[in-house]
Amino acid sequence: MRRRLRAYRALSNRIRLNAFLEISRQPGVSFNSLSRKIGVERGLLAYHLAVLKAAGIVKVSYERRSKQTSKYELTREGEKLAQELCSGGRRANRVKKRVNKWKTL
Amino acid sequence: MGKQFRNRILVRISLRKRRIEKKIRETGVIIVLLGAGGRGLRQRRMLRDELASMGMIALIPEDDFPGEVAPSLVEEAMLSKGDVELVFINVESWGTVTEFTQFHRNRRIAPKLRVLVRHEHHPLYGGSASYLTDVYLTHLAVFGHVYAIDDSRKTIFPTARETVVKLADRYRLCKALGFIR
Repeated sequence: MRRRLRAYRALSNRIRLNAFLEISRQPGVSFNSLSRKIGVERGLLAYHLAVLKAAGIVKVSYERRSKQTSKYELTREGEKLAQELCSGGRRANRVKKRVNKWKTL
Repeated sequence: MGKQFRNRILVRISLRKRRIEKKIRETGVIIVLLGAGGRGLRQRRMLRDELASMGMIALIPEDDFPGEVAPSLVEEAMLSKGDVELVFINVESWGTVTEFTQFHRNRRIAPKLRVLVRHEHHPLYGGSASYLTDVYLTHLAVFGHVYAIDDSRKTIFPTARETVVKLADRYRLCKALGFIR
């Protein structure tokens, strides 16, 4: 319950929600590309991504080319949450599962 | 994904958040932990894990910010434009002294600051007459929240960990009860 609360607290901000949805749409997106897509000041975006990471719904990996590149993707919990939020919630998912089960019988 | 769809998700999130808050009578708080590197960083990492287990979001700039942006710029943007609620700064190195003096002058950041200083340097409990102690006194008089700590446990003063956990927990409780918006 506390983990869920942490995740909802993190997502209850427009910039963070935009970043979260963008990462779910394009896993492995780089920091610079996210900054261009969302159109937020880089310093502020770095903070919002740090909140998503600390809430455990986004993970970051570092790649070193000529410069360090941070790549973002959703954690398992983040993926679950994105699915729930975009498909109408846990109850809707449960109903869908039940319908599918009935169809297979 | 359209703007309407995002707004709908935002409403859904806020409803679910409120439902959980009502149920467990707690709320999520975003906290930043600033301090020295080395041993100080290890201590902050342990503290972050403890606060996370209590349901709070604790950030450590050294660990959580991407390398593409300069830390000083992120901190400034985060503290003045972000929705951070508490900023604990353990003044234990020259770097943290610089951070404290920089944030102490910013009217948007200063009220969020919770300054932890070794008891010898505290303006009320310590005997130091340094310039920094004088700045602590100014901060204490204007904004409050300058706390004496002692990590050696040889005096009556609490450790940094005890102070942070106690204050963050009470702040969260007050927020959940609606004392703070």
